[in-house]
Amino acid sequence: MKRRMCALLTVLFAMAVATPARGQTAADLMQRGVDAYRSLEYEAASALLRRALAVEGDAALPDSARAGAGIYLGATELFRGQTALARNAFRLALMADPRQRPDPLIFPPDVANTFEEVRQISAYVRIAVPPDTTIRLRSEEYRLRLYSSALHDVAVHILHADGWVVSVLYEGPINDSLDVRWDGLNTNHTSPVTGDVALRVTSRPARGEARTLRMPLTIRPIVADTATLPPPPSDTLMVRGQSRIMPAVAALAAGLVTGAAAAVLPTIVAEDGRGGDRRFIVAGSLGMAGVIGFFARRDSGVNTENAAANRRARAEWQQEVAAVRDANAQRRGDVRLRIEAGAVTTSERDNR
Amino acid sequence: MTSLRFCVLIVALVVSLPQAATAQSRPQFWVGAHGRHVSARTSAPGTIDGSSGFAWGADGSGRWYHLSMRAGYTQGSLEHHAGGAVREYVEGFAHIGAVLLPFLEVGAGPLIRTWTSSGSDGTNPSILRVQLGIPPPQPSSSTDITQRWVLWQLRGRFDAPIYDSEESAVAIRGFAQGWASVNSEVNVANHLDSVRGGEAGIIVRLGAPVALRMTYAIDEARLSGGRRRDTVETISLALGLSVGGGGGERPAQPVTASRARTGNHEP
Repeated sequence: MKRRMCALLTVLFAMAVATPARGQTAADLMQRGVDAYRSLEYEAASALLRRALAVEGDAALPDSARAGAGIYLGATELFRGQTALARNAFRLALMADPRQRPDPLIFPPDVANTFEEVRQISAYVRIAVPPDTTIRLRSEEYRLRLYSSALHDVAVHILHADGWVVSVLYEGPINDSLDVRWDGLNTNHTSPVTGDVALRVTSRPARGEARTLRMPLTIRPIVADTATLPPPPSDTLMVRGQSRIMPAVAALAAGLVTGAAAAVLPTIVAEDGRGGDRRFIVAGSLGMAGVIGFFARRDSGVNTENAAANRRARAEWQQEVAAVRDANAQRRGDVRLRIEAGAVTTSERDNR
Repeated sequence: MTSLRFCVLIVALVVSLPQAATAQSRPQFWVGAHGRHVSARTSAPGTIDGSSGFAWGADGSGRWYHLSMRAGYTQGSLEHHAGGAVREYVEGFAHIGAVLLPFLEVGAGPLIRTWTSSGSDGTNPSILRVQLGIPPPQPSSSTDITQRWVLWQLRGRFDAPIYDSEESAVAIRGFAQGWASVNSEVNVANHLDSVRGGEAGIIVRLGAPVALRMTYAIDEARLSGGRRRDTVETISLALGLSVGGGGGERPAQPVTASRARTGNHEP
């Protein structure tokens, strides 16, 4: 029983001290390595710094610290006479932060010179992008910044998941840094790029190793909802118009009846039925007017007031529809792209 | 029936009209000048006396709800067909009426017509006096003879639009009316049996408010048991101003219902 209790207490103690020790390992190792370097204990400094740089995962050193550790390690190896190892350490520092340089107040000129030699032939690029942003299509741009270790040529492309180039953002030289802008459209600037794509930055140094950075981008379009079109005025709201044929017939009848009345008036009024021939001028005019009225009303409709009221109702509806369509067209044009950036992966190949 | 009683009858008719003519809510007015060709003939056993000529005048009319009013005046000279004699012709009328239906109007009122013939106009005054039953003149009296007809008319008028459009200022209307005299007086000895007449015409609104009117009218009076007939035919052309009137179409109904706002998402 006593032995079991001791074992349990030992495990609990180990668990209590293990977690903070593991979280501080990389930074602590680096600090101890730097202290050893300053104490001119290059063997110990080399071992501690290498252990610090070897830590991966959440406990790994951040890029700026890794770059600093790499410079300390390179200086250590240089003083140990291991020039090749020193150059590798400097390359490691540039890979973590292309703009990193050895501090001349801390390191002697030999270190700076060797570092500069390495930097001249090492084309390293670092990508800085907002991790999650939204741009308005055709009015805003997606901005990314590239930091370079040395002057060299780069190509910046947007790749489809299948590997083909969707859009070419930049191809040309880069010195210290470069701002690249992308409008979210494909190469022809005809349609927006959406879905899972990748940002690829290829470094092409004149000599040395080529390097490719690949950053996954997830692009989702955000389109505003369109408004509802007003329904056309229903039949129950329209003023019922007379049929075209009945008013036309009425006009014809009016003309013919009054015309006939003019023609037969002497027969009705006068006992001898005699009348002047001039009455036929009036009778003919009335009859002809009736025929004209018949065709005019048949062709154009009759109830002009009702037709005008219906036209007004339809015109109001069409104006409302046009206004909604304009607003919807504006909303459709206001497309936004939400762009989420993922972690950068690196691949290198010998360009020599 | 006296003239007073006739007037009372007409006024009572107008006042007691039902509101059947509320559709005539738009007032209509006409005022214009006319030229008229007048043909008059007097037929008696064994003789026919005819004359014709031109007359000029003005007339006006108005419609207000179910009330209508018409008045006119015409004056001219007619020449006898047998010779160059002249008869002076003067006519005036005033009617008041009611619009029973948009196309039907009834009215009543006096029409006064005078004929003045002189002895120098070629007409044989003796024959005319015999025809008219006028006693021979005294040696000192004038040879002028004036007939004055006072006719109390009762008339019905059919008035219908033939063409009317709000998109065009041109409008055409046709009308026909008939009338009969219910009480007549004439200053000649012959007994006046009856007088009746009719009129038909066309009104063309050329462009608001100018309008053109052409009418044909005829009336005939029977005297002395039908042995004598006086017939007057006119055809007239008038130019005037016409305001209001639209053909009697049904007025547009207001669109008051609200519209639903459902469905029809624009694709």
